[in-house]
Amino acid sequence: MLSSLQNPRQAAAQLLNFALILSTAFMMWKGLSIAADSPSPIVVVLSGSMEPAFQRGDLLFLWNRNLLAETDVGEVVVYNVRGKDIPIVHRVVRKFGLGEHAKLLTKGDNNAADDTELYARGQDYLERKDIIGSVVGYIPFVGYVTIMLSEHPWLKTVMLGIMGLYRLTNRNQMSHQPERTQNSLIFGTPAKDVTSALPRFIYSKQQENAIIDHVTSHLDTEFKFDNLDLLLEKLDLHGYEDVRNSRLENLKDLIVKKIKSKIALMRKNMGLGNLPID
Amino acid sequence: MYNSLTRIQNVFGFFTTVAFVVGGIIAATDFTFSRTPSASIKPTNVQVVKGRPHYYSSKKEEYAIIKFSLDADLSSLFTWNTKQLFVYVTAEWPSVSGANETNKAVIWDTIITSPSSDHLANIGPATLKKLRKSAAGKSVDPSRGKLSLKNQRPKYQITHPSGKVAKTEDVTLHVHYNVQPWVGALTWNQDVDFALWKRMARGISKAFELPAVKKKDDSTKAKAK
Repeated sequence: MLSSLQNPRQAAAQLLNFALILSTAFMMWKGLSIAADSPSPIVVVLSGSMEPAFQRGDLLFLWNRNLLAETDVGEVVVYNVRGKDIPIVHRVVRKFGLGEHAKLLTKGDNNAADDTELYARGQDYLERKDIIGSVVGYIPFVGYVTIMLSEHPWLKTVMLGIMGLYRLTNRNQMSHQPERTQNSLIFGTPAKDVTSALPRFIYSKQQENAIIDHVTSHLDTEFKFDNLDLLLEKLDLHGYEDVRNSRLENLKDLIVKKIKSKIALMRKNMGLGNLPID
Repeated sequence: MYNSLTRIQNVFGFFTTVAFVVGGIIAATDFTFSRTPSASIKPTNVQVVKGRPHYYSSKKEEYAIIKFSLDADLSSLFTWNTKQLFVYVTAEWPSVSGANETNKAVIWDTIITSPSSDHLANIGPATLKKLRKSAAGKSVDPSRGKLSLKNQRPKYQITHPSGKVAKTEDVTLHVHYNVQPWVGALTWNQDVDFALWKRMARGISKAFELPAVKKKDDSTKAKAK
């Protein structure tokens, strides 16, 4: 909690990331909806009336465009009964007439009788507009999660709890990130006294290896100094974005410059040619 | 960086990716199996009666009972990804003689489960045992796709919203199927060949006419004789 107050930038980034995931999912759903011309292009089977073809929890993909042919007898369609908002997945067994106002009758494969009883009062047949899509694809089991969630509401609480816990541990992880100040030591020198000349960067064996790894994994001729943030973290030289020395120079820039020249030197020794440093 | 929660998350993410890719591959293998269905169908006895076709019918109307004989070989539709085969027979007739078929009604259907989905069928334990035995432990049983019906009673009577079906001309019976996969796309019988999938050979009866309404007193008279 406190860490997010101390680091509003990180909190904002996290919020933005979360919003991005949500909006991506929403846009994919709506995009599919437009492609299939159906208000809900993916549905979860809720009843056993089409068994053994579809069980509860199976996922169905719908298509609601009549590009080549009209919705016909034998197709499995999803429809909403007028005045009710419960999608029903059944097979069309009769069709009288053509076009928009063709009269359609449906029936579940596993039911003895047709759906006349299910329809609204005074409605004997469905019309094309009652149908929200024909089933074209099938994936078993995947939708069972939603059924579980709607039938056992306590699962939602548990899931929220787990998510909260995850956020909390995530936060803790972030607070493990070293708090860098002007007094943090860089190779023995306090950050406020670090300049482009001082101190000498004498890398440990581990740090040396990390830099070698970085160089050897970016051997392409068009070498660019990107992805240095990860390297900085490996070198334990990260987190200096907002720290300045007594001359008000940015500490991260100074460190990056040092590391860049180290990399350039390393590449030169390996015979990879000279690199312009900025 | 790597606590147990992120590890679980990674494992789960990897699992779902693999599951979906494997599912996609299985669905794609459908196209590698050839389909050569064939069927022949003919009506054997046609009657038109006036009455209530269902217990919940609100009004008396004419309905037709079409008995038929069917021989079909749909065995090539059974593969490892077939969950069930839905076979249905429709009666089709034009509103105006000579026009496109604008009236279609299923008169009979059957679900043929693959041995791998026998346990899902809506049948009693004794029938299930018999069904399991028939496949003799095989996971794919093409012999189930062979149908031979003689003078089969229809499951559903034909009606029309107008309440009249007697003396309808140009009625034909059609055999259709719908393959339900374990994962992937649902497929129906095609009108044209598509790669390894051939269209149904025959599968349409000759056109026939529904007779006039059978008079009740006719039958009682016949009985009296």
